[in-house]
Amino acid sequence: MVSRVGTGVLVVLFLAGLWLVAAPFALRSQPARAGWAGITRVDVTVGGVLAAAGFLGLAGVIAGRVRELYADAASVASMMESPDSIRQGSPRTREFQGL
Amino acid sequence: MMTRYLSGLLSCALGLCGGGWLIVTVVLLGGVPSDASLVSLGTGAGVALLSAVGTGCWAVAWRQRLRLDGVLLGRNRPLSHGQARRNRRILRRDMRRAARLARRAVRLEEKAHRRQAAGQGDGKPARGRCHGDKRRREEAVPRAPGPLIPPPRVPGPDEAAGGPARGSESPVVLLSELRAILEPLLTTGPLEVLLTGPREAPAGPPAAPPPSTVPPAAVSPITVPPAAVPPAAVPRIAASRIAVPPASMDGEESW
Repeated sequence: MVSRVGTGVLVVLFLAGLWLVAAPFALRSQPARAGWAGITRVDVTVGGVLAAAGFLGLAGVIAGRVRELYADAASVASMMESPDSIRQGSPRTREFQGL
Repeated sequence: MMTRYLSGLLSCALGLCGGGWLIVTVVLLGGVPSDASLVSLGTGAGVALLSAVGTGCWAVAWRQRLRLDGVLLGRNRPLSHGQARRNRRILRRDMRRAARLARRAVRLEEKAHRRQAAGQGDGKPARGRCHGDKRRREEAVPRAPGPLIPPPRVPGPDEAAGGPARGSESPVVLLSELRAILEPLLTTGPLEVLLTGPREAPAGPPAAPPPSTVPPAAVSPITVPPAAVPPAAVPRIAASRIAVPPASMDGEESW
């Protein structure tokens, strides 16, 4: 539950970054053929950083989750293959024990 | 394993920094408030708030995961006064219940013994009517809470005189066995040196033991027949009950 909330926060962060990049142009506070104002420059920079951070965070969360799923599946498969491995423990346990 | 938590935490921390930076730029650098500065301020505040929430969520999730894996141990929170009072009340109730059950078990056992004795005496088992009446009478009269352990059995006058005991083992036999067990300890231990003096004493007539502070009759009312006790045990045991000279022992070694 808490992880889902955190993932949702990351999504909102990514969207907020996109909004910050697009806001000066969408609200027409930045003229089309003029140099960027200071506030526009700050908005675009911070928005880009936030969008990148949200995107990378989401990618990291999804990658970590997929990695855990793969590890669980591998441990279940190894336990189903040989009943001796039940006594020895899962691969994660063996990794923890330094075996 | 901790990739997702780390990436979530880092992203949220970066979002917190970005939102804070937006607020700072609008407040410190923005001269005249315009629509763009208001949008930046609102977005920065929202981003900072959301990032703070996300940071807390990822931290809690990581802690839960670590606790599930057994890396983090659960905290032992101190009990509140109300919880402590409730625990004490529950404990008292359980103790009362256990004592009541023990009393009931003792009562049933006594009743079974009585019934068995009555059955052996009459040749037929006793009827339940009189026992039921007695039980009703016992339940009607409240019992004072007494000790659950029965008091020690007092030996009869014939046992005290060295006669046959009524139990399975006579106290005389038990006492002689106890003395036989204690005899090597008293003869070989350092206490024996303290009590009887060095062994290099010149051979001769045994010296009279120092005067006893405790009369023997008060120490043990049972007289031991001399045949059951080794001949050297009686004086040494008697010497162990005799007051030790105060110069050789202080209070720490006496037992």
